[in-house]
Amino acid sequence: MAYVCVRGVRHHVVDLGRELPGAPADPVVMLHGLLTGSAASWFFTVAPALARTRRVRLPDWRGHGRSERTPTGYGTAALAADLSDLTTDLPPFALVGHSYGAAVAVRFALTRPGRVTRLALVDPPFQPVGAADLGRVFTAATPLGERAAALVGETSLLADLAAEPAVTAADLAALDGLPTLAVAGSDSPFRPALDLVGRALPGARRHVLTGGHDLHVTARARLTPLLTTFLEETECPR
Amino acid sequence: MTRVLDEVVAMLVEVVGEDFLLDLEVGPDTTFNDDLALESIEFVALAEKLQLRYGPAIDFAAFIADMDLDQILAMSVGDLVAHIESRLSPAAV
Repeated sequence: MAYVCVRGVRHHVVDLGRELPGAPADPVVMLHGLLTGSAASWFFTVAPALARTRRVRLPDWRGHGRSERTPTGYGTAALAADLSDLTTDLPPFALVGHSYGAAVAVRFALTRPGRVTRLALVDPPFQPVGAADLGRVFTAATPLGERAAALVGETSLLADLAAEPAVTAADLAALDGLPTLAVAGSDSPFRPALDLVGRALPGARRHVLTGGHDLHVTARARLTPLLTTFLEETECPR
Repeated sequence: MTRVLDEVVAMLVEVVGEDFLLDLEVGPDTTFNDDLALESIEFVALAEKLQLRYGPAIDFAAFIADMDLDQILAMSVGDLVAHIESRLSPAAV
């Protein structure tokens, strides 16, 4: 699969890896963050290692990577609906999300409970974040580029973000029983999200890695084994 | 290495467009990041084209799985062509 039209939008999706004979493994779908993110975020970092033993799917969200840019539809509910249609051919899968991708992952797991076998949240943005914090995430060192600038200037993305209900402890608590891993950067403005996860889901595994928001890049060597180990655990969901 | 090199360059043109590469002489020493300023998602699209053209044997994901990010960023066209050729059976070249 390379390009697929779902919900009237042309999406780019990257498929990697294959299941090893005699070693069944759930596929894993990896979701990128907004603006500077794309399937490449995972493709050049953690995905190749995971793809050694399982199928890995990396969608480009609408407006990102090589997917079509639409004027609207960037809220988590809309992206979760896109994701649902982008994964109809997969059996239940593990879901890994970075940044806003983690917020979509939570929305997806809440609304399609039978579809997700494990949930990994990488620096999830689960609390209101001020402009100064966003400035720390999107620094001058990571220029947005034309694609992201068009998203900011020509679509409802920022308005959709502003209208987005925050992920609450009640949302997370409703996921009780779903094996969950949450990882935050020691210097990330989103680090407090880990406390929220801990309160709502005491059974979740939680880790702080040295680094900022883009842990898949700056802490790749530590994040990769964390995710691999988490995906290979075999305990039954409670 | 001429044939695979020619094919890789042709796929690059498909990904980024001919206009973009007009002023550049792409050869084995051309690097994807510094010389071509290839966006990471364009590199992904190139990898997908390679997989379609040469099949699963070239396994681009496995090729980069053990590289650190600096190595990936420093990759040249020649590095990629050498990898492809090492994975192709003699009959396929």
